[in-house]
Amino acid sequence: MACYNHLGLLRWVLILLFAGTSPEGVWTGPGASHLGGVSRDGRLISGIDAESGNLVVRNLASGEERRVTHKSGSKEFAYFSAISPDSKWIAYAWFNDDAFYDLRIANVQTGESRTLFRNEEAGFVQPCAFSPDSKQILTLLFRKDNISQIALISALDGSVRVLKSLNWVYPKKMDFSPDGRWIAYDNFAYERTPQRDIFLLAADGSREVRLVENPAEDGFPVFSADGARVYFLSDREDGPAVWSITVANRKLERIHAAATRTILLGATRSSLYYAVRHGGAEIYRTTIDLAVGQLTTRPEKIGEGTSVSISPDGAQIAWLARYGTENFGADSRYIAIRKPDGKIAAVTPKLAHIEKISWSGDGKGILASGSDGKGRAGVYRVDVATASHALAENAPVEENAGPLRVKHDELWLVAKTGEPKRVAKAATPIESIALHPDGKTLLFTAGRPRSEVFALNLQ
Amino acid sequence: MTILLALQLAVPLGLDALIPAPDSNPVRADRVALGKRLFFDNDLSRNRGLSCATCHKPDYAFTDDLPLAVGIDQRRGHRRTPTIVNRAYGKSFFWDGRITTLEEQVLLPIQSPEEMDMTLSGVVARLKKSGQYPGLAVSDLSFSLASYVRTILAGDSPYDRYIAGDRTALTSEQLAGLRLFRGKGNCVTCHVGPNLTDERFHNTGTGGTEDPGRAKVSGKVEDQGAFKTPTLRDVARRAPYMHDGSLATLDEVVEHYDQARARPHLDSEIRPLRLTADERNALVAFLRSLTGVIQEGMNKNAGSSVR
Repeated sequence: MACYNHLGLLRWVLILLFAGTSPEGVWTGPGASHLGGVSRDGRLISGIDAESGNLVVRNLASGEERRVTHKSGSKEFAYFSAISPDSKWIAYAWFNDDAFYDLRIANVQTGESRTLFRNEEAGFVQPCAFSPDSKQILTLLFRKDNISQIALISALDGSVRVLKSLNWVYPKKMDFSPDGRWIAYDNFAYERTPQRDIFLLAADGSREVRLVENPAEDGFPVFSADGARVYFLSDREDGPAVWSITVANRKLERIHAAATRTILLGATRSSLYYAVRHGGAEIYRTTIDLAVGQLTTRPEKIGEGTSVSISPDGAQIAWLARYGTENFGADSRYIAIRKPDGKIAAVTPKLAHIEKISWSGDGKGILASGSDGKGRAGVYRVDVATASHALAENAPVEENAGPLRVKHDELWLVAKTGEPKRVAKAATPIESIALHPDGKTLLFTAGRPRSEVFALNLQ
Repeated sequence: MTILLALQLAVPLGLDALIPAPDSNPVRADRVALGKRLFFDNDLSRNRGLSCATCHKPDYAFTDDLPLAVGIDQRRGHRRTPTIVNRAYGKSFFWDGRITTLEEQVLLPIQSPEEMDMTLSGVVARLKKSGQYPGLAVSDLSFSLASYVRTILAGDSPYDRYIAGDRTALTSEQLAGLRLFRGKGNCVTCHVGPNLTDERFHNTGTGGTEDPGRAKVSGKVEDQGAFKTPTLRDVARRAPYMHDGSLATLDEVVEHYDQARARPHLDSEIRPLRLTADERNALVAFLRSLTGVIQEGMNKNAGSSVR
């Protein structure tokens, strides 16, 4: 079983989207990531090796890649990172063996590292930028009570100063001004609106101003190298684009068109660096002979999404799909349902996060594991007709896989009698499977999102 | 220039460093000092019998111990005196949230016939005449009282120390209560964030039907009987509880939410919790862990902290 991807084609589509000033692709491959940062001098960029989960730093001039971390525990991996202005240090989130994230700091050259901050109560950390003197790390903390906090963490002793807390919401990106006085971040403009604005928060916590106010979704702010402007992504006007605003006079300028899954990483004197995510799990259809444990047709790609599920009567297919701009989380996910007539309906419950879905036994609802707008995790029953949701106690989200099981990138037949048999092997991990009630048609999702990093010339 | 004079307050552990204030009234030391004098000055009331501190007593976490507020000439209000700790972080004021700035809020009790029963021009004239406040204007009254209220901050409790990483700060019973607070008790649905409030309005099933609560402000039927979620900071020393002071103890409060008796417009988040006696006790123990330090005025080490 092979998974055919279209990454090459997609790359050219993305490049064409940026046609005009011709952004330069500066990093592709397993280390390129939307989770990294760029040094102020544009010499270094950080990313995550998708295979190993280790932190990687790439010299943009020479192309040399250096692995900064070396995993030891089975669960551990690196996540968001930021490089200090002097390029000596890198701060990064590290998923530890206790299943939450530490903030660590490492010497870029030697890889020598130490834990700066480890607190299960703030179990997810997102380092965004260093202060100009490299003494503070601007970090987003995500607390157990479902609030996010804009915090400065000392790069010396790990002490924390929380500047601002946000209930149930989180910025997508924050950045320090080059003079260290201001922090730019994005957040919902007002409660219960989709509008995102850009704010400037004084680094000493003394005041805050709204820098960008617009009905659009504005996010991922980064300061220009001289601090005079803030670049950000916006879906205003004719689609997603990189915009800039001059801090002094609020003058707006559209810089360049952008793909929907663009994430700004940082700016240097000459370039704006951004990552574009593409790909992800794709949905395939094939047929299987369960008696002999073999696929009988070549898998055919029928769409993109995750967590595919077939209704109990076999007439409808549901999966998780994505819309809108990149947001690191999953609140842009919706449930796509292919009806018997082939039309696809979007069911969008007011859930903040959906991890996995399956049809309910009566075929009228979808069981969705995830969390609601206040971060309460659980399994919710989503009414297909109304998209309303309610907590469904004791209702597990289970695949209708029959005797089939997934082991990473392999599909196995586990019959009641006889030895388990490997049916097929995919090129990437298999994310979900769904066996049709006819016992012959099999759907599965497989694939892995990838990122590419581009540099947009600002001069 | 005013920005240069803005005061950077040292906040207690657990609170945000950013204290929101309008550009027109950044927190300044001179205004805080003036506001503190005014806060304790009985000349703000018609009969010179009450100051702000009469109801917002520092020793009672800036509220009092009465079920319903009592104003000038023993006139009885129809709601409990709310605490004003951490109102710097507030988004709206009074139990029904009818006012959106502290600058406006601080002037209303002075003018309320049930509270201080003065006019603004009258109180300013009286204060100027006293010689204690030369050149005082209504705007000074507003800005300085608001500035002082912004410095009344409660934090640094065992709960805050636990959140900051001190795993010994809570007893095992309090820790069990914290888990219930976030889980089965569903308390965190409204009491969230550093100030333990969502700043929204909920009908929690207390009080009679005669008080429309938020509905009077919003005009929405669903807001009938809804009141703003209060902070839980220092809640253990702020009895009695709820907007009408109808529950005398924290045990009664937990019991109330545990039972969640049905009534019109009851918030959908409130439902029977089926807590055991141990669980109710643990929740109360946790609520007691929210008692910490209250600081006010210019300097938390200047003898103005209240324990």
